[in-house]
Amino acid sequence: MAINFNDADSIRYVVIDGRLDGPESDAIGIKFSVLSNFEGGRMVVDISKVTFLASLGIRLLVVNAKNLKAHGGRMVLFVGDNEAVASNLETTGISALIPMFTSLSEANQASLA
Amino acid sequence: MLKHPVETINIKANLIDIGVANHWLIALFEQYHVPSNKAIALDHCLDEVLMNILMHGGPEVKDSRISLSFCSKDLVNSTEVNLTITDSGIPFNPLKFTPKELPKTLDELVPGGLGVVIIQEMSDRLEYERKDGKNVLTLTVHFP
Repeated sequence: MAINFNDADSIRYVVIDGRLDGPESDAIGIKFSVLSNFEGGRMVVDISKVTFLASLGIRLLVVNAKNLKAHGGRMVLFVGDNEAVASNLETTGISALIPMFTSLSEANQASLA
Repeated sequence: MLKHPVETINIKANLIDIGVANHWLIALFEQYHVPSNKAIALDHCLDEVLMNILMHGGPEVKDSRISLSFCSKDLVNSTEVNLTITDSGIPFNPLKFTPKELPKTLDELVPGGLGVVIIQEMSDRLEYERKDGKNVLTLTVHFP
């Protein structure tokens, strides 16, 4: 499990890869919260390389998307061709609340909207 | 009567041992040739159940013993895999859990309860009983 970020063109890209199960969600929770805590921030969270997305991982996305929104920002998700993760977010209904994209350029546009 | 092999492991209710349980289960998937879609489903369910015990099992549950048993049965036209999880946390029957309706906006969304939704969606059958003061939950998947 790894979490990395870079800032470019007014967007913060957070890339998470590997297994986002209960223990790993717990392990990256603080770092992800810090990365999501900036005023008016626009953020694309790249979960296209996540191999396993547990409810605690989804919870992490939800809590930080809400926090970012409360600070005038916006989080969107980039899933690429990761059908398992996309399906998981659709089954739980989260993709209707946090915008999810298979195209990075569309994710970028949506984060700036 | 045909006997089916049962694999067992006891772990403690903590994050490290949840990782141990995950590795144990993945090794069994290979040993018993569980197809990847069902392996992913059962792996997901195990993570959700164990994290649920750890987070909501009550103040006494931390580092208490959780027993896992795995059984693969060859039926007439299919194979059935049962994974039974026994814990001493507060009584919780996921079969009686009704998921809350998702709100229309992110602002209204209160995180929680998704784990049980995932368990219900990903397992082919769920059975629960409260026995000797313990939760006994059996998750089942089938495959051809």
